[in-house]
Amino acid sequence: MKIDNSLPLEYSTEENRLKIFGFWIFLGAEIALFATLFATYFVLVDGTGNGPTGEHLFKLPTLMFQTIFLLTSSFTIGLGINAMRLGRQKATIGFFIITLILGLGFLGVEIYEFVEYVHEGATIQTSAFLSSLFTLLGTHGAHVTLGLFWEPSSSCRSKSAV
Amino acid sequence: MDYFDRFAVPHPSPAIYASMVAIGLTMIAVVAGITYFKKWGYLWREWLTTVDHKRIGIMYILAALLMLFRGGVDALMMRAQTAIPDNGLLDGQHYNEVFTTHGVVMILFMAMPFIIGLMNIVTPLQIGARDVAFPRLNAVSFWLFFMGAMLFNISFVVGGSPDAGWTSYFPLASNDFSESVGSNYYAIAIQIAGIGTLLTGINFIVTILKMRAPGMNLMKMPMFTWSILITNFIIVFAFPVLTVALALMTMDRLFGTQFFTMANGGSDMLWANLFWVWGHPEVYIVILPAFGIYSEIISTFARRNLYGYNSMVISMVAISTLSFIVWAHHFYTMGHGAMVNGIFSITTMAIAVPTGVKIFNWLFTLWKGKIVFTVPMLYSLAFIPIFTLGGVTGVMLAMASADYQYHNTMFLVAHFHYVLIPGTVFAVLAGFTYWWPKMFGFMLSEKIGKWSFWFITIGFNVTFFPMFITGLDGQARRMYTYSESTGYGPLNMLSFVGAIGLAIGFALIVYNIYWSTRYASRNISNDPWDARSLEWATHTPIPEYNFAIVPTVDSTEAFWDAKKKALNYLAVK
Repeated sequence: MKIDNSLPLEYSTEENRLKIFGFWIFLGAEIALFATLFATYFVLVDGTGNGPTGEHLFKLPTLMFQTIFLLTSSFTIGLGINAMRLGRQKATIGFFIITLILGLGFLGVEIYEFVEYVHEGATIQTSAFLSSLFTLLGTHGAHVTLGLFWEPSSSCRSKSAV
Repeated sequence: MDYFDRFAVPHPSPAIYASMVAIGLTMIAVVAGITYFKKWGYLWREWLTTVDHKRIGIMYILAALLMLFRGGVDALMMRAQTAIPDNGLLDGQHYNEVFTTHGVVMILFMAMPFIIGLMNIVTPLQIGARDVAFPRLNAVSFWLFFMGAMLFNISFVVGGSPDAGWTSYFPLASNDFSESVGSNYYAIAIQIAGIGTLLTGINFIVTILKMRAPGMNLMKMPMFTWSILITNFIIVFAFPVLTVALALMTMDRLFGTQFFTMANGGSDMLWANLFWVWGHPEVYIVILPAFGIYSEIISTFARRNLYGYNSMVISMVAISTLSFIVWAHHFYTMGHGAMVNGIFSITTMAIAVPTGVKIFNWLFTLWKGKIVFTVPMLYSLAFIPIFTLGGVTGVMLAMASADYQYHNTMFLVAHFHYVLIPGTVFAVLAGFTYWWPKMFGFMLSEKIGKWSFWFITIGFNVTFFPMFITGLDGQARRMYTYSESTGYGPLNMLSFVGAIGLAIGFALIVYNIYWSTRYASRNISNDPWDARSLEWATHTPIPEYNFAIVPTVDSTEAFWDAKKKALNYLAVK
């Protein structure tokens, strides 16, 4: 395997470069996927039927917590990648663990929020608005959940490769 | 038991029981045959677990041919049923299932995999690569497609096939109006196959953008590779929409969500929009690679460089962009207002412009060429006038105000068969014949091939041209019968006769494969057609690594120019 040291660590082999590029294309497909879900949500947002509307349902504190957790986790994983490029293993793992905790925090608040909605009688079956809301948020939550497993597993794999 | 009752065939008939027995016997025969000839190990090692793009491509094509015959039998049943007025061969429910599965099988499990099969075999060779970027992912793509196709097909005998049309419009496809599990098969089987296709899209974009031979910049790529690159971009941006649409459909049917319902705020039109936001680009996913195949074949057998390389590329990019902004023309009559209909009318008609550019480019390539009438060339030459007829009737349908007359008639059926059969089916048959010697090391018989070409071309026109007339006279599509007083009888009988001609043509293709496998000469060169692109530069049969030495490219027709300069690509330079 040819290793090109002039490039950042994760780009240093041909195989990795292909995989990273492929992942960018995959992200393009993900944008199309979420765009479709958002479009569905905006089409159905007034389709509340006999169920509650967003004004009744949405509460600022939980939304704020989720946003802060999520945006901070994007920042800390960026710091982790930077530490990895500098070859500082402990810092890398530290930032990754912080990211995972923030992700878990986000999911916890989201699940709490879902349980609250259901207690108020707002289920995925109540109205088209709620079907699209739960689907959009749930798809995003599923992505975060997958990341929670994927990140540690790929870290362990690269550790065993070293 | 309630749960299992849902998988009972809703309207059992002797034909379905006979099919169950036939499927069972065939499976036993296949397993027994493989065991008797001790081929399990070979099958497992060389094919089922392969990650070689050439073998995956061959498996795609094999599956596509199987599905062609399944979808073809559906077509014959429909033509037989409507051949005479008040026919009782199929009942209404059975007819609904047959036209639904015909559409799904032909588009998703025949045209797509046939195209993806050729793409798998040819693209890495044309760009001088040793495999695709992610060979294992490529195998995953194939097996996802294959399992999706098999799941869809099993619905025929377990639980009943989907019956809401290949477009599966709501509210018809909701639990209220489609109680059987058929539409669940639709949602889940297509989902599985669709994810496989999406992965193919990612794989080939990376392959083409990152693994080209040295010197082959984008504007030196062969036209087929260009068409595949653009197609895969369409796949990556269109298939996620289908993924979402099918997921919402699944949730509506299984989990009681309200996306496409008539009450509680749902919107049945949302389904039509989501479906066609994917569905119209899908049409170009199967047609652009066909344009690529024709470009290769026409320049090879006219012995001329492709006319207007740059305009070919630009028009394909234009078509791919337009393909995303025309979807509402599939349901003008659903009532989204004059303004929306007007805009979509204009975007739809605009597609005729880049398509016309391509037609003229092919004609100019033929101009003053030394044309060789081989089987692939015959398909390509027949494509041009027949496809133009399909395109012109498409412009008729594109006019929203006139469409109220044509909508849901046999005129529409005739139109899209006039586009898709010469556009895609002729192309895959031409490509299949053209690249066959590269895949298997011998040529298919030209004589039998020409017989099947004439049967297919004449049979096609006899089948579908009468539908333009009955459609303008008001014969509705998807109706399982009609009364004698309508006067549709004779032309429908003519369609049935044409369908038999088509069936003979396809049977002859199978016979050709059998005959040529047994008797054709194995003594052919690496380049039997005197062709132009890099796949013909390597050995036949192709070694697993494709090229011993990665070729260097300095023109759009690299191999042809090298031949003219008497260079040998296989030798060390």
